[in-house]
Order: sequence, then structure tokens, then C-alpha cells
Amino acid sequence: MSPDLRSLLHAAAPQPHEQVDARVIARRARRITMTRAGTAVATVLAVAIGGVGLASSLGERRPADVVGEGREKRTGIRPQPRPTVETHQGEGRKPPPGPRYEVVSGVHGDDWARKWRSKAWRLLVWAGRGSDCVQLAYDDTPLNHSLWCSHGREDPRKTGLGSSTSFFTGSEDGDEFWFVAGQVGPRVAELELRPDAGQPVSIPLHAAPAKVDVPYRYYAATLPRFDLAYVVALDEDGNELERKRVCGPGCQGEREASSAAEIQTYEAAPVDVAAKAAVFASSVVGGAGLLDEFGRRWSYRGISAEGSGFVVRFEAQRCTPPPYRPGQARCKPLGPARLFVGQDEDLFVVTGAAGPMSGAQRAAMLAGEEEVPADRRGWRLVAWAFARGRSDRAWNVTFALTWTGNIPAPPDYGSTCWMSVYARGGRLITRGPDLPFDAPDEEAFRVNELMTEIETDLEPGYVGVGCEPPVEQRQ
Amino acid sequence: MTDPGLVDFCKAQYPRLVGLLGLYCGDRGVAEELAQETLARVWRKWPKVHHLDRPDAWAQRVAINLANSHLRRRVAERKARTRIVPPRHAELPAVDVAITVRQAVAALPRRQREAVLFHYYLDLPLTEVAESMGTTVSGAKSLLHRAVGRLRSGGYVTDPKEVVDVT
Repeated sequence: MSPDLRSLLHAAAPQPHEQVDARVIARRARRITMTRAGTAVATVLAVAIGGVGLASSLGERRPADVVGEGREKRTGIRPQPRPTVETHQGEGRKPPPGPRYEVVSGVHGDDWARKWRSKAWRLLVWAGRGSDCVQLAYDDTPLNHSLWCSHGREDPRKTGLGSSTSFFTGSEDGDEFWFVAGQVGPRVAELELRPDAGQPVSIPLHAAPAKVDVPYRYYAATLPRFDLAYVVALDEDGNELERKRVCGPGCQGEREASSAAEIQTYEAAPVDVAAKAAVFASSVVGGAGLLDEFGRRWSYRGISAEGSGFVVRFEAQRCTPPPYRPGQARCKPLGPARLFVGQDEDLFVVTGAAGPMSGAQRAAMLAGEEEVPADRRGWRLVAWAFARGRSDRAWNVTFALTWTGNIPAPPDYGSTCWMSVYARGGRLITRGPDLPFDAPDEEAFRVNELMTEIETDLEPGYVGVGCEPPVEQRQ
Repeated sequence: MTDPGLVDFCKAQYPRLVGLLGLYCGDRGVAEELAQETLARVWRKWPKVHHLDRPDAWAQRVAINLANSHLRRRVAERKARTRIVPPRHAELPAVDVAITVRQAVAALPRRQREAVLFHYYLDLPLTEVAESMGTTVSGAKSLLHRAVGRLRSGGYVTDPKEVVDVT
């Protein structure tokens, strides 16, 4: 033994200011229990303002939280009856920026014509950047909780049907109705709904407007009541290409259990070292100022093992800050970029960098090192930037979050995050609305970069992000 | 009604946890906060924890985990601050030996820091250190050798023949 070291440590160990109060501990324990009684524990990922201190929380929960799955139910009779929509497999999110096109007027089904003769159901297509979204609209009102987006998931062009089927229920005056909507690829000639009981129902397909240049066709159809059904895609010869299970009211419990089991499996699997290295690389690149949507940035593309380390691939781009002209490409590619990551005992280190960057950025990246973290699945803030907006008080804010878990994640493994912007002195400027995210299921989407505009008289200094994961985080 | 054994456990463990976390994180204020959070978790899980052979070891493991989470957030925040705020001038070294020892320990790589504190501060034998850290006895010995070597190079270990007990 080394008595000097032992005695040094015991002498150097700090003593508490005062003895612990058991009542304080009991209160904290109850607070942990209360926050975990719901579906999630809020975790603030980063704040750090001198003088204000850390806005970290080990169990803080926002009031009236709605987590991830868009199950907020709204009912009620209004002077002009409007149907309410509860999403079962769709997602309650805002559509991406981009042009909106009407694809189909009037959703097919006998009941519709009788109930809402003077109104029209429309299926809208949002051709956004990197994703296509379909949204139902009643009259001229898009229904927020009926939005479904592809976001780079299974490509219907490859599979025919993909994971595009969304099922919605609505109610008005106590009457419930069901409809299904989604996309199909060019191989699909016919679409059928085959319920567990009853006859198959043919679902019409509608092409997107030619000027959109979207290769999919869309469908939105009412359905007879069912517990379990399949949406079946057929080719020209009537051969089945693919089928997707659609859960009606009778099998929601089974679906929830299946989803919970899938999430449990995902949570139990250790996080790959490559996933951790990718997060480290994103953090290094963000720290060097290269995740900036207002200038030059490196857009994450993937990671692969090389030798005893990893090569993290990016696409270097030069981005134009807002405002944007219609049709203007915001970011122009400059070429490939790479970050080389090695492991030194329990540290990730940067062993090299190649691509468009300044000398200072290169130096900042080469100095990057971080302890290999324990397994966790969640969003980590890796970069933010500010740029002047269109008016004296307007600021554009961009920030980048990286997913720290493995990908792919289960389809229902989403989360909700919110952004706070602080002035340089630490004063809170604004707290943004919930921004629901899906955990990425493709390599390129490990890093989520978002932009918003705020108005303030203060000069923004820092961004803080809080997120609610879909399941309780392990400690 | 609260189990009096739980209250006694918390009172006995709190100073020990503050000492452990203070050495681990290099900051007494943070140590007190994390120690309280650790005991809150003990409080919540006491029906199970008090049946364990070593509830104190469980609490120590929880404390280290919380400290690691805290330090990870601080690393991200420090890097974020550096992006926006110019780095300050290097601070003068502290005169107080206790503070410099804490800083030296806190500067060790995480695994080495854990091994040093488990063995030299908590007086755990190597077998328990290895078990707590999820490694082998030889792995724990290796970590201790390297940690002591680093501390020696900083002038904190004067015994030239550092011997690590196998018990």
C-alpha cells in the first residue's frame, strides 16, 4: 500500500458543510418518484451561463407534457361541426417548410358524402427538404395530428408500400370514423384493405401533381370498423407485393405491448462503440463551428471502422443564411470531409481531419478528446449559431442535436425537445415550443439540425435544449 | 413511518459520499449536491437496497454514476462556452495542498480516478474494486499502477516503491 497516498486522500477529502437532513432527502426521493410516474424524465442537455449556473436537472418535469405519440384527444361540438382526429399511427408534427400541393379532393367513402356534403377532405403533399409529408385537411384546415412524413425511412420506390401507412380515427357528435392514408411506389397497381372480418375494400390511388416531381401516389380512404386489418399492395397481375398491418380499435393494446417490447429490446442492447464515436465526432465538429447552417458546415453522413479507429464521413457544404428566395438551395456541396477518431484507453481522440476548414477549425478539432461515455440513448446538443434576421429584432437560431444511441431505433422511439435561448448575460430570452423528433433510423440522420427565428431586443448568447425521451433513462 | 435504519444509513454515508465525490469531481458544492441525490435514490429504493450485502457499496456506485453524468455535462458545457467566450487566462495554482490533491485526483482519467478512490479512500480490497468497476483484479491493479504513477509525477506520492495489496 501507499500510506502517503491514503493519508493524503483522507486529508484532502472535503467534509460537508453540515450534516444531512433526512427530511430533505425524503423530499428529493418523493420528487424523483413523481417525475418518473409519467412516461418520461426530462433531461436538459446543455446550458452553461456564467452567473446563472447550470440549468441541469436530474428529474425536472415540465407541466402538462404530451409525449411523442400524438395521442392528445380533442373532442367537442362546435357551431360549425368540425371532425377531430386522433392519430394512432401518424404523428403530430408540423409539416416541413416547402410548397404544399393538393393531391386529392374528397376522401372516398360512403359515409363522408352523407355527413359532410358541403365540405371537402383534401390530402395535401408537402414536398419538403429531405422528406415528403402527407397531411389530411378538412375544408381548408390541415389537421395537425394527421401529418405523416417519410423523413428518409423505407423508400416506397423500393418496397412498393414502405412504412407509409397511417391510420386515423376521428369523431364528431359521438360518431366515430376511421380512415387510412399513405404513399405507395410505382410498382403498386392496386391497394386493398383486408379486415379481419368482412370483405376486402379497394383503396383508390392518386398521383401527385407532376410539377412536384414526387414519385409516389397517395391514398386516403375511409374504412369500415375493424379490429385488425392489412393494407395490401398488389402489382398489375394481382400478386401481393407487400402488406402492412393496421391496428384498429380492437388491437391497440396488442400494438402498444408489441411497441413496448421492441423499445425494451432496443434499450437493453448495449450502445455500439461506433455510435459513441459518431457522437464524439459530431461534438468535435460542432465545437469547431462546422455545424453552422449560416456558413460552412460539415453534414454528417456516416461512420465506419478503419484499423483500430473510425472514419467519420461528412459532406462539406456552404450554406446561405436566411432569408431565402423561393426555390433557392440553402446549402451547396463543397465536397467530402472526414474526421479520424481513435481510442486511447478510455478516451476518444481525434487523429486526423480532412476537408474544407480553416486552420483554427482544424486545430480545434485535432485537440478534441473525450471520455468514452456509458451507454445512453437521447439527444445531445452539439452546436448552435445565431445570425441576424430580417428585422432589427429578428435573429435566426440554428442548433444541432445528435442521437447518442444505436440506430436504427424502433419506429415509435420518438422524443420531444424544446429549445431555450439565453442572452449573453444569462437572461432567458425565449423558450420555444415542443419540437417532436424521431430517433433516426438511418445513418445520415444521427445529427438533427434545426433552425428557427426569434425576436428580441437582447443579443442571444447561448442555446439550451431539453428533451423528453420516450422511455425512462437509465442512470 | 421512515425506517430508522434508513435515517442512520444516510447520516453515516453522507460525509463519506461527500468526501468521495469531492475528490472525484474536485468541488465540494457539487459533491454535496450529488451526495444528496444519491441518498434520495437510496431512500427510494431502500426496501431492496437494505437487503444487499453492501448497501454502502451500492450507494457509492450510484454516486459515481451521478458524478460521471455531471462531468459529462460539464465537458459539453465547457466546450460550448469556449466557442462563444474567449478563454480566460490560466488561474494561479492553489496554495492549499488539499485543494491541489483534489485537483490532481480529479484530473485523472475516469477509470483511474475511480480505482484510486475505491482502493485508497474507501479502503476497498482489490477484489471489491474490480467487482465495483466491472473489471478483473489485474485490470484494477493496472489502473492503480497508472494512476499512482501520474500522481507520483505530480509529487503526491513519495514512497518510491508503490506496492498494491492483493487482499
